Amino acid sequence: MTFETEFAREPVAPAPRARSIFRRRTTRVIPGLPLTLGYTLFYLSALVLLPLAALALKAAQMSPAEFIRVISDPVVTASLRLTFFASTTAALINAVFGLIVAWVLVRYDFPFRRLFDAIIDFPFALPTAVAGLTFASLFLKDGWLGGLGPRVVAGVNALAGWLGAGPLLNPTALDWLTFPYTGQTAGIVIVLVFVGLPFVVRTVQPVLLEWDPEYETAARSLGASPLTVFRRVIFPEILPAWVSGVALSFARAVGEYGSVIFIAANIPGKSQIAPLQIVTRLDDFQYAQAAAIGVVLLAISLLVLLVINGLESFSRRHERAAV
Amino acid sequence: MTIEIRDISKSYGQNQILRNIDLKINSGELVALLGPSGSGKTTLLRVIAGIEQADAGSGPVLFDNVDVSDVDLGKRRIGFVFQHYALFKHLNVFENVAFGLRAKPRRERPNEAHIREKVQSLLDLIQLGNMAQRFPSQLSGGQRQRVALARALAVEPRVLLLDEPFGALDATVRRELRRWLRRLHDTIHVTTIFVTHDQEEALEVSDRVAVMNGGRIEQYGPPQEVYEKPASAFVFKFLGNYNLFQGRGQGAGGEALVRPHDIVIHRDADAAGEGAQPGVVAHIGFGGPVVKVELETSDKSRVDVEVTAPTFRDLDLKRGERVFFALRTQQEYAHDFVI
Ligand SMILES: Nc1ncnc2c1ncn2[C@@H]1O[C@H](COP(=O)(O)OP(=O)(O)O)[C@@H](O)[C@H]1O
Ligand SMILES: [Mg+2]
Repeated sequence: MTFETEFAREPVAPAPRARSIFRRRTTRVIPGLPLTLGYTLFYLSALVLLPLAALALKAAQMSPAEFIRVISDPVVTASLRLTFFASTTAALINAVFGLIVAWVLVRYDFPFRRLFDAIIDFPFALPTAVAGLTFASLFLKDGWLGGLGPRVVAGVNALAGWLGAGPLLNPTALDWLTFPYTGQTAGIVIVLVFVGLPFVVRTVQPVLLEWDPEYETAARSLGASPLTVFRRVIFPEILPAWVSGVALSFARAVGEYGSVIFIAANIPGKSQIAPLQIVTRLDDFQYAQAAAIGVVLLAISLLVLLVINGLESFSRRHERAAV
Repeated sequence: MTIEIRDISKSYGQNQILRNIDLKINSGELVALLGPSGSGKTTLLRVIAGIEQADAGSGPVLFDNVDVSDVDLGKRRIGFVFQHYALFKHLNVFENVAFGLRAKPRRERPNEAHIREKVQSLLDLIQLGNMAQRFPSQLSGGQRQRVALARALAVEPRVLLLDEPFGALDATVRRELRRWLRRLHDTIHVTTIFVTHDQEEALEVSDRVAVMNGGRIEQYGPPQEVYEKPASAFVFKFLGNYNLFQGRGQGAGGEALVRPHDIVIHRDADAAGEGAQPGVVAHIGFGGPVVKVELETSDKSRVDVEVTAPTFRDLDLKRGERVFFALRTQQEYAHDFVI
């Protein structure tokens, strides 16, 4: 079964060229590109690089030995560990649930969908201290959810009494319903999940909205199961947005201060997050020490973000039939 | 593989798109669904594929006399080529073609060596063997089209369904690809339906043409039959240029339609024979092998005539000259009454 046809030469998109620094990457659209480029670089420097450099300089005022001493203080290492553990956990939870929320908001129509959609932005707008306070009071031992067991017991017994019967439930019968999450790491994670959720949803959502269902139909017509369609067709498409959403949510969690201090017990060396350590040092006028902790916080965050991005581009380059 | 559909209707909300369609396609046939934009061609193709469900109360879709109406799209074993190809952007050409093979359940999935061999032979078939590592964005329109075809063929479909396969390509590539498709079909003999709004394409390539209009099939037959004996004025008009003569012939109130090349021009009335009419040459348009001559009749209406270049040379017409024209054949239809 062979036959040959000469096909006319059609224009083909040029293969992407190797990038070099400062080369214009597209045709000139905005006149005076050097000016806009210069402005952008200046802007970035003034707003981002300069403060970062100042921070590093401040930390550099200490001798290396002193720097090591500050950051290897058990209280500091414990706070860093807590911050990164809680932030990573929250980011991973958001990775899964943010994706699901975005999917449901785009793919399904249900009552009050638009309302739910709007609510997603809530954590962006709410002062985080308010969020922290709200969560703390919810999860306190006598809060709504924190004391759910005893409350239900009390309610049931009151109803029984009103109906003329004796107390139905033992006061401790429903203690397993209680979530006393204030003061615990779980409490911190819950607030960080709240704070970081919109990042994942709002990065993934537009990609799903833009998505042409024809690709899905094509994959299904080739016999792919729904799981395969998601894994090999949809997921690769949303991967970059999803990864950057998760990275943003992680970065936000690392820097989060306002909400966490309300729900954490804030015991030094046990339940104090790194940003709180920094604030504590600042309160003691230990600026260099605060800067040192800040530098470590930044360095680790940067490393994590680089690894995340590296993983993403690696998986793109090696997107193959992982059978 | 034969395809038969009976009494298929399809509505979107209040809009009825397909109206009681019957169609039967023989095994190994290449059939064109031809019709103007919006006539329901894509919808019909998608119902046959199982992408869309026909309305309740419709008849069955039969593949080899087996009702597949309730068979899921993925299980119908059809190859569908989408109008805009729908190639997976993040997969290279090789992986796009291999997609259907890798997506098979573990038991049926061929091993890696088999997949490589199969994909490579398909890439050779579409003459893109050396482009396996390219991504869709690095291909031309015609190349993408062929990759989409290879991807559909990889799963050895029983039926090939193509939606405007050449719609997005420019004229030369279109002509080339449609001949290629015909030869490909002659090589692999898969029952094929392709949708087009280009009558030339449908007539040139297919074994049979189904002309669609307003959700109905107006005529279904071999290209020559459809072209020479159009079943309705709509089909006649859709298939090519025409001249319209009102209220001639027997059917008063009807219309007679004549193709421009079915009109003969003579210099003198005697040679033109009975029924010939006088006219004045109003315009001459040169277009290669055929020359388009516009005549003005005594009642100031215009008649388009196409003569071959040699005939034109012999006639040696000039603008403003008086000639006579006669109709070789004509088709008469009662007026279409729009209900
Ligand atoms: N999913 C849909 N929802 C509503 N109307 C549709 C849908 N798909 C097609 N239509 C309508 O059906 C008619 C026929 O469409 P289509 O089958 O695509 O025609 P064709 O392919 O012949 O151009 C059009 O008027 C179009 O607007
Ligand atoms: Mg269409």
